[in-house]
Amino acid sequence: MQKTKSQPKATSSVLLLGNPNVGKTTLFNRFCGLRSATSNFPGSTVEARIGTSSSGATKRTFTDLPGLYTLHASDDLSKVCRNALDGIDCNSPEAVLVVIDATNLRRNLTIVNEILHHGVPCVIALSMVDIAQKSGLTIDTKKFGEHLGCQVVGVHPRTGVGLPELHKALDNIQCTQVELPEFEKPKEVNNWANEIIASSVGGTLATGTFTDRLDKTFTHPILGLVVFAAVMAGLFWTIFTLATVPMDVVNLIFGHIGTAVGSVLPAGDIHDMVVDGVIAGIAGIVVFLPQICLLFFLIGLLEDTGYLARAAFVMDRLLRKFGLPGQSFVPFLSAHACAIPAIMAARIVPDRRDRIATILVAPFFSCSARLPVYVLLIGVLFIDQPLIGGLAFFGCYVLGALAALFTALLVRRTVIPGVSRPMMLELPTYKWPSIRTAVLNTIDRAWVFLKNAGTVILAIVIVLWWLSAYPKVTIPDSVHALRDQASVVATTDIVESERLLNQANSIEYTTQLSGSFAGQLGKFFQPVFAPLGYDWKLTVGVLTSFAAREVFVSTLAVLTAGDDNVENVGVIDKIEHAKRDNGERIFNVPTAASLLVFFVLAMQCLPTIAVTRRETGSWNWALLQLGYMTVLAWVASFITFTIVTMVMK
Amino acid sequence: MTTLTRPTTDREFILLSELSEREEAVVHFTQLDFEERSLLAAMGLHDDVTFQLCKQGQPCIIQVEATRLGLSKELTSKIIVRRCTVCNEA
Repeated sequence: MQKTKSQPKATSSVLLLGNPNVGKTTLFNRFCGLRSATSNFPGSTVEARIGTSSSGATKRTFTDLPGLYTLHASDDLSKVCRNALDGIDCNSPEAVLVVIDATNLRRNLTIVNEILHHGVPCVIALSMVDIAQKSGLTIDTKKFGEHLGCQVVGVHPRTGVGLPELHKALDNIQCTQVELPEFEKPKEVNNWANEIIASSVGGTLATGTFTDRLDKTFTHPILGLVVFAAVMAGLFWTIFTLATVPMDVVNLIFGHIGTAVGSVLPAGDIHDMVVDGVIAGIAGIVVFLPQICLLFFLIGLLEDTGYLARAAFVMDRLLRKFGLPGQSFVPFLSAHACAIPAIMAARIVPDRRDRIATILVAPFFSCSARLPVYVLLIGVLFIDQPLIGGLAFFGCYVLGALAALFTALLVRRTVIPGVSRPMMLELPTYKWPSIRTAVLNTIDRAWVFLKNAGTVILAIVIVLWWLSAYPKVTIPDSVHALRDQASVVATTDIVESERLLNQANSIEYTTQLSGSFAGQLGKFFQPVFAPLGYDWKLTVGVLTSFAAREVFVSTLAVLTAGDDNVENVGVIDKIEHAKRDNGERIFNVPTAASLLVFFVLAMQCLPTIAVTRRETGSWNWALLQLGYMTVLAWVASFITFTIVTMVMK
Repeated sequence: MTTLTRPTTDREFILLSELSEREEAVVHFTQLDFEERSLLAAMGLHDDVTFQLCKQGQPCIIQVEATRLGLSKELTSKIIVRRCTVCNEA
């Protein structure tokens, strides 16, 4: 074991480790605030947040890994944490900050012992000291630290109390010199923990009856379900109500940007690419940022209260009937934001077969990338009917969830036969959620979304614009005739002149689009989607959205951007009122309904397929997922289109 | 496989699923597999740790120190515990 004292450096790397629910991320946020970013840990799929914090002349880089109970489990997270401690696949940390819960010392000391065995200099941050004190415990941190051979600092991650002391402790960090029990012998570790607690902790922990009452309500077979339904309804109602105003503002801003940039740039290809390609395409995505931010913010708040773990048990009763464990609820909830973190969150499902089943069905749950399409299509289907529109929104979520459950049942009876493992889960203490933590996490997620919009989606919309702008098509004579007519009547009837000009522009635009590469591609594949009611423009939209669902709106924004026959200036309005080649609206009711069902059920996300392959370790599962979801979506959309068409007649 | 007989209320050893609320006990024997046992131990439920039953049913909620653990019914019917009250009386 090392006995050397390390000197403070200008920049040092600190690894944050600890059990789940000990306030590790809150402490990380307190240290780093906005100076952090989420990324995969080197050489793995484990997500880590990396941020910087300064104290005096020392700048520290903190790496916050997900919480874990032991370093010696066989899962990926344990392996990544072991490697991170030993500097395998990454630089060795200069210090480890172990965050432990003052009210759960015995359990937390198990991981402290395991970390100390790695011989890395450590500081212990003792969180929830206030709760321990209120519950009747007094902890002598000096004595506690002497037993462990490292400094122990009491902290309050939410208020920042103890942070200067933590920085000071990190400045004077050292490796432990005490003798530690072997971590392979749990009895020895337990005795060691008992000795430390006996000599440095006074009082007895009082247990609350309030928590008991809440737990009984939240996990009750009927009351629990009622509370769950109310919480979820409230969550989604809030998202769709509160997001309306900022969405309108974003829409308006992009409208003005488009007009302003369009008036500065000279007419030509550059003008068209910037205005119709880049600005219209990005606007189609960014307009939904408020909804996505609200979803992440509310999930963050909910998670912080401690309710989600109880909700997992409520869902366990339901999910087990479909061959899934209750833990699958957590990935499923994340899937409402994005399928990728959801598939990665499926690592919390301990059994491999349960995990694969969870991964296979997670993309059925409506992610935020589907929201733009839902908003667009429900807006078409239920104009000026917000209540029915809201119900339709809810229906999309229900349809996705039902498809997931019945697919899980099918999977557990065919390709992965068997029943799910029974559930065991820590139920964290109830507490008021930290707004700061939720806001910081939301900003982090929103930034990832915007980076995606600014890179991948931007590239796709530029390619799409090029495909729709080339090859250049000869302008038909009718366009010249209409323009001549417009100039003749301009002096006598300005309104008629404008109408004729719009008509000419529309014909020119439609001719160009129809003859472009995008048009040719759409027409080639259109027969496949014709039974679902899609014209070639929608076919292009569906095909491009196989890269990412949200690209659908951007694609249509690009394909309809030059359509001057549409009087509305907003991006969404323009798409909603876009016309087919025969002059009919692209989005009639049967087509919009069919398309809505298609987007609820289809697997249109290349990154998700890649993550499924990575997490399951096989292309077979990823291709099965893609094939099954696409076929199911096509069949369900065809049925929807047929029924709605019959009803409309 | 051991057959678990239904114990009487004054028995020292009892299934976790039959323990009364607020009663304290220690895990005596489990029919869980290695992974389940390891995870339970890592979550704080060692063989020699006293816990209190907070809620019976689905889920069964137990408290070890300040840690509350939720366990599904399938698990609690595979865990035999030693009741502290009966043990202390003896």
